Amino acid sequence: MGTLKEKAVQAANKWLGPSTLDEMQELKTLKIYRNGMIFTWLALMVAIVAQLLAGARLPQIAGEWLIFMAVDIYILGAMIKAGIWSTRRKLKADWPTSLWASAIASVSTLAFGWATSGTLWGGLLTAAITLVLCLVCFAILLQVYKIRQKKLEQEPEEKNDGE
Amino acid sequence: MAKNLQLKAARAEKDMTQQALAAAVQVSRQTINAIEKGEYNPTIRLCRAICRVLGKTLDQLFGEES
Repeated sequence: MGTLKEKAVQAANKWLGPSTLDEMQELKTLKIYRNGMIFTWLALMVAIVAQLLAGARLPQIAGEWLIFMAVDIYILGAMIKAGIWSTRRKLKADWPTSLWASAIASVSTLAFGWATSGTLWGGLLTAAITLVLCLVCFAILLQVYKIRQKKLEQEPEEKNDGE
Repeated sequence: MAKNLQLKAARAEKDMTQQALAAAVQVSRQTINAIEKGEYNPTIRLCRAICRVLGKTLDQLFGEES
Protein backbone atom coordinates (compact mmCIF):
# COMPACT_ATOMS: atom_id res chain seq x y z
CA MET A 1 0.00 0.00 0.00
CA GLY A 2 1.54 3.26 -1.11
CA THR A 3 0.41 6.82 -1.53
CA LEU A 4 -1.18 7.96 -4.78
CA LYS A 5 2.12 9.58 -5.79
CA GLU A 6 4.05 6.35 -5.17
CA LYS A 7 1.50 4.39 -7.19
CA ALA A 8 1.79 6.91 -10.05
CA VAL A 9 5.60 6.58 -10.00
CA GLN A 10 5.31 2.77 -10.00
CA ALA A 11 2.89 2.87 -12.94
CA ALA A 12 5.17 5.26 -14.86
CA ASN A 13 8.19 3.00 -14.16
CA LYS A 14 6.23 -0.04 -15.33
CA TRP A 15 4.99 1.47 -18.59
CA LEU A 16 7.70 3.96 -19.50
CA GLY A 17 10.73 2.48 -17.74
CA PRO A 18 12.60 4.05 -14.81
CA SER A 19 13.82 7.65 -14.93
CA THR A 20 17.05 8.21 -16.84
CA LEU A 21 17.66 11.58 -15.20
CA ASP A 22 20.13 12.27 -12.42
CA GLU A 23 19.38 14.63 -9.53
CA MET A 24 20.50 17.83 -11.31
CA GLN A 25 18.53 16.95 -14.43
CA GLU A 26 15.47 16.19 -12.28
CA LEU A 27 15.82 19.62 -10.68
CA LYS A 28 16.19 21.29 -14.09
CA THR A 29 13.14 19.41 -15.36
CA LEU A 30 11.13 20.70 -12.40
CA LYS A 31 12.26 24.26 -13.17
CA ILE A 32 11.24 23.84 -16.82
CA TYR A 33 7.84 22.47 -15.71
CA ARG A 34 7.46 25.42 -13.32
CA ASN A 35 8.22 27.96 -16.05
CA GLY A 36 5.82 26.19 -18.39
CA MET A 37 3.17 26.19 -15.68
CA ILE A 38 3.60 29.95 -15.01
CA PHE A 39 3.40 30.70 -18.73
CA THR A 40 0.29 28.53 -19.20
CA TRP A 41 -1.38 30.10 -16.15
CA LEU A 42 -0.74 33.64 -17.38
CA ALA A 43 -1.75 32.80 -20.97
CA LEU A 44 -4.98 31.19 -19.75
CA MET A 45 -5.81 34.24 -17.62
CA VAL A 46 -5.13 36.60 -20.54
CA ALA A 47 -7.26 34.40 -22.84
CA ILE A 48 -10.19 34.45 -20.37
CA VAL A 49 -10.00 38.23 -19.83
CA ALA A 50 -9.63 38.92 -23.58
CA GLN A 51 -12.62 36.75 -24.42
CA LEU A 52 -14.77 38.41 -21.75
CA LEU A 53 -13.74 41.87 -22.97
CA ALA A 54 -14.60 40.80 -26.52
CA GLY A 55 -18.12 40.06 -25.34
CA ALA A 56 -18.00 36.30 -24.75
CA ARG A 57 -20.61 34.92 -22.35
CA LEU A 58 -19.63 32.81 -19.35
CA PRO A 59 -20.76 29.46 -20.89
CA GLN A 60 -18.46 30.17 -23.84
CA ILE A 61 -15.39 30.34 -21.60
CA ALA A 62 -16.51 27.65 -19.15
CA GLY A 63 -13.78 25.20 -20.23
CA GLU A 64 -10.92 27.64 -19.75
CA TRP A 65 -12.42 28.93 -16.51
CA LEU A 66 -12.83 25.44 -15.05
CA ILE A 67 -9.22 24.49 -15.90
CA PHE A 68 -7.98 27.80 -14.46
CA MET A 69 -9.89 27.31 -11.22
CA ALA A 70 -8.94 23.62 -10.92
CA VAL A 71 -5.24 24.51 -11.25
CA ASP A 72 -5.58 27.33 -8.71
CA ILE A 73 -7.39 25.13 -6.21
CA TYR A 74 -4.76 22.39 -6.61
CA ILE A 75 -1.87 24.85 -6.08
CA LEU A 76 -3.59 26.46 -3.11
CA GLY A 77 -4.39 23.10 -1.49
CA ALA A 78 -0.93 21.67 -2.11
CA MET A 79 0.79 24.80 -0.76
CA ILE A 80 -1.30 24.86 2.42
CA LYS A 81 -0.79 21.12 2.90
CA ALA A 82 2.96 21.75 2.70
CA GLY A 83 2.65 24.62 5.20
CA ILE A 84 3.74 27.22 2.62
CA TRP A 85 1.90 30.53 2.29
CA SER A 86 4.07 32.35 -0.20
CA THR A 87 7.44 32.12 -1.88
CA ARG A 88 8.09 35.79 -1.13
CA ARG A 89 9.12 36.96 2.32
CA LYS A 90 7.14 40.20 2.10
CA LEU A 91 3.86 38.40 1.33
CA LYS A 92 3.13 37.36 4.90
CA ALA A 93 0.20 35.32 6.14
CA ASP A 94 -1.44 38.22 7.96
CA TRP A 95 -4.36 40.62 7.67
CA PRO A 96 -2.53 43.71 6.32
CA THR A 97 -1.13 41.68 3.39
CA SER A 98 -4.53 40.08 2.79
CA LEU A 99 -6.19 43.52 2.77
CA TRP A 100 -3.66 44.81 0.26
CA ALA A 101 -4.09 41.78 -2.00
CA SER A 102 -7.88 42.05 -1.81
CA ALA A 103 -7.74 45.79 -2.58
CA ILE A 104 -5.51 45.18 -5.62
CA ALA A 105 -7.89 42.46 -6.88
CA SER A 106 -10.84 44.77 -6.27
CA VAL A 107 -9.31 47.73 -8.13
CA SER A 108 -8.32 45.52 -11.08
CA THR A 109 -11.86 44.19 -11.38
CA LEU A 110 -13.27 47.75 -11.19
CA ALA A 111 -11.96 48.58 -14.67
CA PHE A 112 -12.92 45.14 -15.94
CA GLY A 113 -16.46 45.36 -14.56
CA TRP A 114 -16.80 48.90 -15.93
CA ALA A 115 -15.70 47.77 -19.40
CA THR A 116 -17.93 44.68 -19.53
CA SER A 117 -21.05 46.17 -17.93
CA GLY A 118 -20.69 49.58 -19.60
CA THR A 119 -21.51 51.51 -16.42
CA LEU A 120 -19.42 52.75 -13.51
CA TRP A 121 -21.94 51.25 -11.09
CA GLY A 122 -21.42 47.86 -12.76
CA GLY A 123 -17.69 48.24 -12.17
CA LEU A 124 -18.16 49.34 -8.56
CA LEU A 125 -20.48 46.41 -7.89
CA THR A 126 -17.96 43.94 -9.37
CA ALA A 127 -15.17 45.54 -7.34
CA ALA A 128 -17.19 45.42 -4.10
CA ILE A 129 -18.15 41.77 -4.61
CA THR A 130 -14.51 40.90 -5.41
CA LEU A 131 -13.30 42.70 -2.27
CA VAL A 132 -15.77 40.86 -0.01
CA LEU A 133 -15.10 37.48 -1.67
CA CYS A 134 -11.34 37.92 -1.42
CA LEU A 135 -11.55 38.91 2.26
CA VAL A 136 -13.77 35.92 3.07
CA CYS A 137 -11.40 33.57 1.18
CA PHE A 138 -8.37 35.06 2.95
CA ALA A 139 -10.07 34.72 6.35
CA ILE A 140 -10.71 31.03 5.74
CA LEU A 141 -7.33 30.31 4.13
CA LEU A 142 -5.36 32.15 6.83
CA GLN A 143 -7.09 30.10 9.49
CA VAL A 144 -6.55 26.77 7.67
CA TYR A 145 -2.92 27.68 6.90
CA LYS A 146 -2.16 28.58 10.51
CA ILE A 147 -3.67 25.33 11.79
CA ARG A 148 -1.71 23.32 9.22
CA GLN A 149 1.55 25.14 9.89
CA LYS A 150 1.15 24.66 13.64
CA LYS A 151 0.56 20.94 13.11
CA LEU A 152 3.66 20.58 10.89
CA GLU A 153 5.82 22.56 13.31
CA GLN A 154 4.71 20.44 16.25
CA GLU A 155 5.19 17.07 14.56
CA PRO A 156 7.08 14.84 16.99
CA GLU A 157 10.57 13.56 16.19
CA GLU A 158 10.85 10.00 14.91
CA LYS A 159 12.09 7.59 17.54
CA ASN A 160 15.11 5.39 16.77
CA ASP A 161 14.46 1.65 16.37
CA GLY A 162 16.70 0.87 19.34
CA GLU A 163 14.77 3.16 21.73
CA MET B 1 28.46 29.89 -5.90
CA ALA B 2 32.25 29.48 -5.98
CA LYS B 3 33.99 26.99 -8.24
CA ASN B 4 34.82 23.64 -6.68
CA LEU B 5 38.54 23.50 -7.41
CA GLN B 6 39.13 20.79 -4.79
CA LEU B 7 36.94 18.41 -6.75
CA LYS B 8 38.72 19.21 -10.00
CA ALA B 9 42.11 18.67 -8.35
CA ALA B 10 41.06 15.39 -6.74
CA ARG B 11 39.74 14.15 -10.06
CA ALA B 12 42.99 15.09 -11.79
CA GLU B 13 44.93 13.31 -9.01
CA LYS B 14 43.08 10.11 -9.87
CA ASP B 15 43.56 10.83 -13.58
CA MET B 16 39.84 10.67 -14.17
CA THR B 17 37.87 12.56 -16.79
CA GLN B 18 34.55 14.19 -15.91
CA GLN B 19 32.91 11.46 -18.00
CA ALA B 20 34.64 8.68 -16.00
CA LEU B 21 33.69 10.22 -12.65
CA ALA B 22 30.14 10.75 -13.86
CA ALA B 23 29.88 7.09 -14.89
CA ALA B 24 31.35 5.96 -11.55
CA VAL B 25 28.74 7.86 -9.54
CA GLN B 26 25.94 7.28 -12.07
CA VAL B 27 25.16 10.83 -13.08
CA SER B 28 25.58 12.75 -16.33
CA ARG B 29 28.83 14.52 -17.25
CA GLN B 30 26.97 17.83 -17.28
CA THR B 31 26.18 17.34 -13.57
CA ILE B 32 29.86 16.85 -12.67
CA ASN B 33 30.74 19.84 -14.85
CA ALA B 34 28.09 21.97 -13.11
CA ILE B 35 29.39 20.95 -9.65
CA GLU B 36 32.96 21.88 -10.59
CA LYS B 37 31.82 25.19 -12.04
CA GLY B 38 29.85 25.90 -8.86
CA GLU B 39 26.57 26.01 -10.76
CA TYR B 40 24.98 23.09 -8.94
CA ASN B 41 24.92 22.18 -5.26
CA PRO B 42 24.75 18.36 -5.10
CA THR B 43 22.78 16.38 -2.54
CA ILE B 44 24.66 14.79 0.36
CA ARG B 45 24.06 11.39 -1.27
CA LEU B 46 25.92 12.44 -4.44
CA CYS B 47 28.65 14.21 -2.42
CA ARG B 48 29.32 10.98 -0.53
CA ALA B 49 29.39 8.92 -3.72
CA ILE B 50 31.93 11.30 -5.26
CA CYS B 51 34.06 11.22 -2.10
CA ARG B 52 34.02 7.41 -2.11
CA VAL B 53 35.17 7.23 -5.73
CA LEU B 54 37.90 9.86 -5.30
CA GLY B 55 39.04 8.58 -1.90
CA LYS B 56 38.52 11.90 -0.13
CA THR B 57 36.47 13.11 2.81
CA LEU B 58 33.44 15.37 2.55
CA ASP B 59 35.41 18.14 4.17
CA GLN B 60 38.24 17.82 1.66
CA LEU B 61 35.96 18.08 -1.36
CA PHE B 62 32.95 20.04 -0.16
CA GLY B 63 34.16 21.79 2.99
CA GLU B 64 34.47 25.55 3.04
CA GLU B 65 37.86 26.81 1.93
CA SER B 66 39.71 28.83 4.55
